[in-house]
Amino acid sequence: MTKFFRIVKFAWQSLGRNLWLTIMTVIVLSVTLFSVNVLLSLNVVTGAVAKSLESRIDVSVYVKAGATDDEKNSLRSYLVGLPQTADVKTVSPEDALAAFRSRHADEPNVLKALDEVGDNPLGATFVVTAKSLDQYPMIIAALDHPAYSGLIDRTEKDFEDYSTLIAKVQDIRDRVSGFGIALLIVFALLAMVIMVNVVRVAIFTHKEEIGIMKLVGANGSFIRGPYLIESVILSFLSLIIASAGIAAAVWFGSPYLASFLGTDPGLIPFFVGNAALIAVSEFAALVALTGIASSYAVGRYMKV
Amino acid sequence: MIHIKNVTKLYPQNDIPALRNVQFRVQPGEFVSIVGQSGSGKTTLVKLLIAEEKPTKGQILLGDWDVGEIRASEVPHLRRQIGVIFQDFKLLPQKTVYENVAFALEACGAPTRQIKAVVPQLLKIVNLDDKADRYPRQLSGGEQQRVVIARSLAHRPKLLVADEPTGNLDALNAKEITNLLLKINQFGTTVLLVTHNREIVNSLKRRVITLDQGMLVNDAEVGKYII
Repeated sequence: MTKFFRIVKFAWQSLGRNLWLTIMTVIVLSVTLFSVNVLLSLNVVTGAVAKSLESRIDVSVYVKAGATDDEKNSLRSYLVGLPQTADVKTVSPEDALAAFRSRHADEPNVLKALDEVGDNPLGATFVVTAKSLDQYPMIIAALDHPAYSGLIDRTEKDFEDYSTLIAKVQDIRDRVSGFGIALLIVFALLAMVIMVNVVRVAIFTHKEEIGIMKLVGANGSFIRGPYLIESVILSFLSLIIASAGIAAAVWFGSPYLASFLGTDPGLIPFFVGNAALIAVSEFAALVALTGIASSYAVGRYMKV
Repeated sequence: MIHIKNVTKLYPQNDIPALRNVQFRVQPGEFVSIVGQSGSGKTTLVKLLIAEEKPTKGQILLGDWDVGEIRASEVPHLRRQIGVIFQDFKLLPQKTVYENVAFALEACGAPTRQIKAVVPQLLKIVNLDDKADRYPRQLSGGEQQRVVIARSLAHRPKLLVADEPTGNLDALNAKEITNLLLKINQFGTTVLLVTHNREIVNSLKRRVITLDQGMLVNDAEVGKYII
């Protein structure tokens, strides 16, 4: 126990008496950790944007004008009962007409033709939202059910377009997500390299001291111990500073981000909800990295 | 207590041996100067004694230790039995005078109470008790070397090896350090003084072992610097 307390004492002494080196090491580790957290935030934001995009996708099923109420109700029940369906909203023929006029506002010929028809040629519309993006093709395929396909007006919108659009959105979402993860991994690796080298440089400045300690009769654990404790202390300090930085950035930046994106990216709930996990994981990774780098570097200079 | 038995040391990528069939004994309590010009093998001999290097051939017996055969884990224990003084001092720059001397005891797990009792005594012996809180950079060369001597005595070693201890010092400080070594020898510690300082060797009138190009060329009980 005395040996352990001495090792801890030496570690604190070394950090305090090499104050500039300590400060620079903490700064580099903090900035590196901060940038990893920024990338994590970017992943959260892109995920939120992708989700927002997905939520705007739906399938509009146009019911033929002559369908009876029973037929409409039956179709609606069928759509609601599909396992892929999350929600079905009903748009009345009057609201459907208004929406049609709005969509084709730039096409006077279409509007003229509609006026010539006189009565509202549109039936009700069922707006179907799926539980997830990749389930829309199944909903679209379900519309070919022989009992109901005759009720659906397919001239207004070709469901092929929906499938293409959905596939495109899925592709964008997957690419963005994949890119984000790849970037995070690459950056995490770069961060590791930076951290390891920062520690190696710090240990290099102690190269002569390590040799002296060995010559005086200190054993391996007594020489290595203080540097390992220093790694823990430096990791803790860096985590505190980086966490304060990212907390401030998220707190003050979230409203601006929400305004820019048109949707709340959910950064605050993400970090609040995962604070302990993120902190523990990053601290453990930092201690492991800096500890291994320390131990290896000290070992090299201990060959006296 | 020291027996150098037909020791040869050949460094890799070097055709000429640093030491060739060197053989001598040193009895407990002796004061021996090991002299020779640069490159004669003096420092190699010191490195072999503290297990920094291993002999290519031969044996080095230090009391019960066969230095050439000890395991890496036993090296710190060996080095605690030997006090070593170097030309370039080798003090820990971020530790005070007190802490540098105490480190030698802390490294072997000595109790704090013992350290607090022993370190001031050692500093008093080398006349540095009033500079315990200074850092090495705040001391003169002679003072730094005295700190090193105090540290080397912390374990009460039976053997003190001084490798060119006066190499970086002026004549006055060199004399002071030499006198300190003689004083330590008077208390029963075996002293090996490795040096190429002719004046000091000749003034000591003690045993002198002379090395030249890695070979022992002379061993005189009351010797002089003859190279």
